[in-house]
Amino acid sequence: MSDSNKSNRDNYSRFDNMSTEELEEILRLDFQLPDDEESDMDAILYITEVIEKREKEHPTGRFTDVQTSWASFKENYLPYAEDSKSLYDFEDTEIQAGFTKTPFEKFLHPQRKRKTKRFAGIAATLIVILLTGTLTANAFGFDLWGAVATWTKDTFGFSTLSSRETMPESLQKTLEKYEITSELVPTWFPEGYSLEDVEVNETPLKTTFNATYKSIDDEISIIIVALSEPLTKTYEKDSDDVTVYTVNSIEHYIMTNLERIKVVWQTENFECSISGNLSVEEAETMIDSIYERK
Amino acid sequence: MSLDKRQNHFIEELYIEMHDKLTVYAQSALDDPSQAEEAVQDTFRIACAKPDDLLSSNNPRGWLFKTLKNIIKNTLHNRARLNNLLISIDVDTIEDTNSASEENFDFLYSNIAEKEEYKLLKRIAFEKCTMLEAAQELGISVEACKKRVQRARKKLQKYLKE
Repeated sequence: MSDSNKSNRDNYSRFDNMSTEELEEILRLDFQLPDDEESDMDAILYITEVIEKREKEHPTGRFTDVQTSWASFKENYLPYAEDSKSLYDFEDTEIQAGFTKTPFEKFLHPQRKRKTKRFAGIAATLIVILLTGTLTANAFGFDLWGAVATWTKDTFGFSTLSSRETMPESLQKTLEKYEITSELVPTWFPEGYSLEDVEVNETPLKTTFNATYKSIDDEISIIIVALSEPLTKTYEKDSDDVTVYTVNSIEHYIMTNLERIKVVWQTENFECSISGNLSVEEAETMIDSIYERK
Repeated sequence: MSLDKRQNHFIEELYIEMHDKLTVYAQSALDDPSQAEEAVQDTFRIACAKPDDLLSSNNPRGWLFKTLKNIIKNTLHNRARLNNLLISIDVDTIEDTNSASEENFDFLYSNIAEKEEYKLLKRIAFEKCTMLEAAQELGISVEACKKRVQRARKKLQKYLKE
């Protein structure tokens, strides 16, 4: 073994003392790396070897028998090996392979947690808004806390694909790239605001579009969550601090907290919100504009 | 592309060595054992479609991980898009409410509707069924199943645009 290989394996040996959950989390974080950042494949291989070894020593049933899988591969997938596109590639995107190596320390670098912290911050903000106002989770007549907990769990517990559009054309155009044509996006904003960026996060359960509009000294955030199943729950108003503004047969809940307005509503399989330094009248005008576009 | 003896032997050995390791990675990303298994199988299928790329790589194991990662991202992305497409028109809802417009009835009962195709899309998108599971239910090959999904999706896109 060369000196550099030995050195790397000595470095990787720190993974031996981590729990399987911690190692799986590192793998999840690696999966979430943006496309322009490459993994340390040697580290990934080492980690998966550790987990594989543990599974063989104490089986939990997570692996199918490899010979059974090989037989299934030859019968069901190998005959289709003419096509180099992924099974779920319904367009004509060629799957990319090949890599360059980056040091494994990036896995353990605090910056890798940036996305996670950002979502934790948003969740914390939402919880603060609910706690400091007269609103409670039950004010809406449904389990908002459960929804937040589920959302947080989903963010932390599942893989998240993230992308950020720099110089995005519009939030509407971004939605259309994901086959979303429903009326969800305001076309009117208070003077001085323009679209800064759109961040898209995909998990197996939902896709979240987070658009930020900025003015000289403030910002408006629009969040649209496309759930994987149609919504069945409904909001119920149970507080005088919440205004219900109905447009297009859709109830939009307008609430104020610390001089900031937050609007939330549900339609089809979408959960939407607008938040910013707005007046109630401005919020209502923004809501009206969603349904006035042709 | 058919593999020569050397390629076949190489890939089989790599499969036996790497299958479980790739499964670990796929499970951490997908959290569904069936989907993870299919992602690993798809990785090796692409390896067989591009044997020269794999064999000429200076790190075939890394090549497999990279390919698997891209397959999983592609899968999640396209399932979500298919999901969004289907949510916009749910045939069962239309039938249940009896409020279908004449246009919707045309969609339901024309050749375009072909309810089996539409149900296939729903199995893939909403129920997270794997392509292999769907193929086995229909008694067709994985390749034929994918082509049905592609065809049905294009028809639905065309219908919604019109």
